Amino acid sequence: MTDDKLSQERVRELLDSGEATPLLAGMEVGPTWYADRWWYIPDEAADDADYQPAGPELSEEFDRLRVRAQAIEDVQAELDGRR
Amino acid sequence: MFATEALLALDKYERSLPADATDRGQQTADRLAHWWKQLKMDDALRGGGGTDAEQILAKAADLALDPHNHEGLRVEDAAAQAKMMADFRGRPTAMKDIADFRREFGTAYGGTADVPASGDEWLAQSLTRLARASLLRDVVTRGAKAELSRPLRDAADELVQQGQKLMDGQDELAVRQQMSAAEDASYRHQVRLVVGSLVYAAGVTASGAPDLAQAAMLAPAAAVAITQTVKSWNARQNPPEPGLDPAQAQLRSVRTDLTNTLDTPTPATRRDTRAIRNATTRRPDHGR
Repeated sequence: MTDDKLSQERVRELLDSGEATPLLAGMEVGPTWYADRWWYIPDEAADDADYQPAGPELSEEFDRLRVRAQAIEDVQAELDGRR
Repeated sequence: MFATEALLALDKYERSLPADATDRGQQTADRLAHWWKQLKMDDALRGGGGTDAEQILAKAADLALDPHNHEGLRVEDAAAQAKMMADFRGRPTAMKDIADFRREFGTAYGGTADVPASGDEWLAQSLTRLARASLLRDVVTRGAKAELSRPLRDAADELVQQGQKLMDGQDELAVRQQMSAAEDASYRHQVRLVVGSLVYAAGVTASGAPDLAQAAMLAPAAAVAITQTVKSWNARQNPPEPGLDPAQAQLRSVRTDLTNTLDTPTPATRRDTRAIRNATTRRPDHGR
């Protein structure tokens, strides 16, 4: 890890260890919460590009999306529990 | 697909209530409002545009959530109001009604759709899928790369194969056989993108694991989506957009896929196919 980059491999390790949290469940690559900030790969970057920290505006967007994602996961857990 | 499914689930819930129940409309409104709020879907269908199903569903949610609406909700009324708004905006083609959606759903699943017996259960499940697809779309439209995990990609591949089998022997097979090898490869790539996002929205569970049974249920509908994609492929004659290099064009096509997959199959354009054919970058296989 450098100050402003995380390799995809490193992010996978962090996700596997539970130190990082993905915004979207079930995705291999996507916005990820780690060390009190959001990391993401811009969609125009190469497939093997490193993660970079999101700026303040994008972080606010990810925060809002995370609230929606959590709501979906809560409802999904309720539905799974009925089965 | 998901907005249509949610609309049909809402329709089923309404029709499961006694026709002479005085609170039928209120009960329907209450259930939709309940799940809409639970899933925080206020941003999911914003903008007032979208497909017919999205527009009707958005209008139904407006009615269900309106504190001044004491009439409750009838799906037919929501469809009529959505149509009136579309007409007001000068929409050139007629909007589908609920009967159209029922008929198309029956065709897509061949009358064998395995939906929950409880209308409320189906409503909850279908709205959850719609919310998830909407979330994925919004992540991508904010400029973030998002790729399916390996199990979900495998599930998408399986779904494509199942859909392809269902297409065999049909008229569309003849259309595909007229494609060049390069066009066929691009077509398969395009279908994989579309079905991949379908699988993500339909098959992922709270733990992030794929629910293959759920995904398999979509196979007949995926076959219809693939068929319509092929038709669109052959119908469109868009010229390439100047100033758009292949990588940019490919990214745009991926974003378009995810955006459109909320409800309808993606119309593949010649610009998309050229971009995909010319792309030099490929997804790394991480062996996961």
